[in-house]
Amino acid sequence: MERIKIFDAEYKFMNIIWEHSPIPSTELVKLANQELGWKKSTTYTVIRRLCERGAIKNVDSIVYSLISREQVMRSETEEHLDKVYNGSLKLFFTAFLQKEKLSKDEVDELKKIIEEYGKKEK
Amino acid sequence: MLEYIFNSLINMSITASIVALLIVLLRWVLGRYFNKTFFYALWAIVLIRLLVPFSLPSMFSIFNVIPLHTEIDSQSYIYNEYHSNSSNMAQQDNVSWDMSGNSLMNGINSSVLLPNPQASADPIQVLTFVFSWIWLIGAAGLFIFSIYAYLRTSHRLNEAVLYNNDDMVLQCSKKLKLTRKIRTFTSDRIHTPVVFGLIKPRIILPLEIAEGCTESELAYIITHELVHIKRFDYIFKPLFVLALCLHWFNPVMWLSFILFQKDLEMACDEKVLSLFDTDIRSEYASSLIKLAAKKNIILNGGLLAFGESNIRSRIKGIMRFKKTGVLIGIASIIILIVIGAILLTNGQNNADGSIGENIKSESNDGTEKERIYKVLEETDKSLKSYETETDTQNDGSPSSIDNRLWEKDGWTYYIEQIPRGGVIPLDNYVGRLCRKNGQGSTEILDELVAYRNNSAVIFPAGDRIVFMGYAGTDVMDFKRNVIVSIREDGSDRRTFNTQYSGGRHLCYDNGYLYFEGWTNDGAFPRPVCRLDTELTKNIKMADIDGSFITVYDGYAYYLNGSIYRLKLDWVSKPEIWDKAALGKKIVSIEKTSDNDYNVFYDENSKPYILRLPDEKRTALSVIEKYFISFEKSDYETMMALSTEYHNKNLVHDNDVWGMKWAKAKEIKLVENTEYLRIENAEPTLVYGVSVDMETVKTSSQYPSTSTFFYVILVKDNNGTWRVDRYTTG
Repeated sequence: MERIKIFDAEYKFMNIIWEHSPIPSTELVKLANQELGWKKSTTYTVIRRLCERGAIKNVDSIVYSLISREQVMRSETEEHLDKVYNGSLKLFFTAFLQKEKLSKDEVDELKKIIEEYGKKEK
Repeated sequence: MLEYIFNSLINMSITASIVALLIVLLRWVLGRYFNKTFFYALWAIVLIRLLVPFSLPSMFSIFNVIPLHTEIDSQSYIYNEYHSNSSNMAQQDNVSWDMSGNSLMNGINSSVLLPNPQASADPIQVLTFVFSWIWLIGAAGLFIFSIYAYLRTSHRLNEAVLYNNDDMVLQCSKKLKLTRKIRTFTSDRIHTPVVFGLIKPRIILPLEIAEGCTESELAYIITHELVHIKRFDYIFKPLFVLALCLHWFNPVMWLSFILFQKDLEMACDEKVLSLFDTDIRSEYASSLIKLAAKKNIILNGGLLAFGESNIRSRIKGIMRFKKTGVLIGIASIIILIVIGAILLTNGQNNADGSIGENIKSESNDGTEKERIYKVLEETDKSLKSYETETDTQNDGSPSSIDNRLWEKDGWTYYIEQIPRGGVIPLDNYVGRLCRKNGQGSTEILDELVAYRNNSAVIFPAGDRIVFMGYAGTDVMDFKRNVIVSIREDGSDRRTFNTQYSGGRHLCYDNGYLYFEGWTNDGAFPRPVCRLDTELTKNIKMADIDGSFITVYDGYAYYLNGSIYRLKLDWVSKPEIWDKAALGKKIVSIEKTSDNDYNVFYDENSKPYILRLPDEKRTALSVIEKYFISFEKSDYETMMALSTEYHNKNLVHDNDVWGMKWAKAKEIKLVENTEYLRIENAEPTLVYGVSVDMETVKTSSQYPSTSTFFYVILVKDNNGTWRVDRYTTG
């Protein structure tokens, strides 16, 4: 059985298709908007991508599922290092925290800082 | 245009840098006492300085203390300095060249011939041009790349999936008193929670966090992001990036951006901590470590890898956090307002108020001056080099100079330089004017010939000798050049006190002395004055639109792109005497007949131009063309130079304003136009025009043949000056 790698967002989208297949694409856009918060263009992009990978097909504006849940291999994105993407995340978006390379020692040291300050107060 | 934008941008960059460096200093000194929100607010000042090209003047401004236009001032300072030197230099040839009596040649030579062949064409302008293009390419490149990066990221984040945990978000929003409804999404394509979207911001959580964090941790994270939203950080940060694109050449701004980001996140942390009733510092800090250490991937290095690791300073910041007391809060606000008033405003030491304006105009003037100065400086250099080439006996030690000046009636006139010392300031020399005859008798005629750069301005003027000198031997007298006139035997010493460094290009023609008067900032037009050799009557003859060269044989010569010459009635239309002078070094000039000169150019020399950017100049050329056409009754050309109003109301089949033709005898700018009560929205210039004319019978002036009236020019939307109407005032 052929298995298809699918990312989280795509999996959630597939859930909708499985539930309603076959489904007119306009209908699908509406559902994706309600449940996933997607814009029309986003939905169509994902439909096209899933078509290319053979997970669904889109004939005359009706979307059919071509695979079952069992055939799907949910994979976590191990995005390869993409400097533009990560750089722009840093530049434009206020982020809770940027990942930093922390060795175990460093983590311990930081924890110590927290403890020390905590003690001082008491 | 580009250069102009570039100029203002440089000014903005400089002011912003000063502000930024002050904030860095404040941050360093007061960092312990004030919270990060305070500093975060300060960065807004830098951002405004970087992006807003104008600002209000204020008496509190830091720029009252730090002179904003240092360079510009120094330029004009140097420029004036130059003036004071140049008066001596300009006619140095009178000393070191033989006095064949052709002072025009010498005058021209001193001003025009001498520019160094190495002097490039308007070097400053060329540099500005090159730099502004480099800047533009850099800025445009960065901007396009930013947009591209942003769109690419947006594209991926669009696929984030709605996160159904509205309760949590609502609770946090309530705590923050945030009324906007913010939607939350999850995505497996990011590893840190972000706020995304400029118009409708939304929070995007990494899937791993949404699924793997405790409720309280989630609450912290979401609250943190909501604080960003409430403070519009998600707009400020891209704005700063935009500013960086524009100011990419300024390293201070990159440093500022890094510190700004740090303060932004830490200020946000502080707000989160203050929102919770209980002490959540340890928990909050721990979750930060947990998140940061989750996976050792990608996002490190680059912009954030500056100084202390980000997470370390944030954790310290969090643990040090204390809720601000009311007093400190109020103090912060007051200090912020004060600092805002100091750093956000511009100095008001300028007459027209806004420095934003000033920077614009001054920078224009500045470069222009700089250019002119550059040209003059090159003149100076080559002059010096000329000196060393020709005057080989002169080894530079003042006392050895023994300059022959001219010979007359058996006397040889020469200058002997006096060693300086005593009250004579170091940068001034004093020469002793002497004469010697064949019998070996020597007479000292004057002790106080101003002597600078190894040359003096001195020449015979009729039966007298005129030179630049000093009024007296007091130390203050050496600060000011005066025009001195003595009899040939040294008696009857008279001085004429020009203003400081006045008497530039002093020369003699047909019984009179002429010199360029001194204007405060070297502005154009410049006055040219006439003085009799007895120094009793000084008359300002004209304001000339250029740099005065000399008067010779009934004509005044000045340089403005070309060499112009002007009849000594001072009102005729100046004619271009030598257009080819533009841009070439003149090797020599030969007078072939009365009105004919041979001018020899150095074909290898690089061109230079002294050309005025003056509005008045362009307007003047319009009105000049207009009247040249009027002389020929060429109404069509006149209409092309005029406004619609003019063409409709003034022009008729056989006349314009009752005149068949009109020949301008004098066109003069009217400076004070208040009494004319001109009410125009557009910029206007008024010229007073005297004409000879022929009127039509219906004209109220008929049958007179000359009149005077005012011509009003307006500047249209394209920046072209046009003749709008006449008025009799």
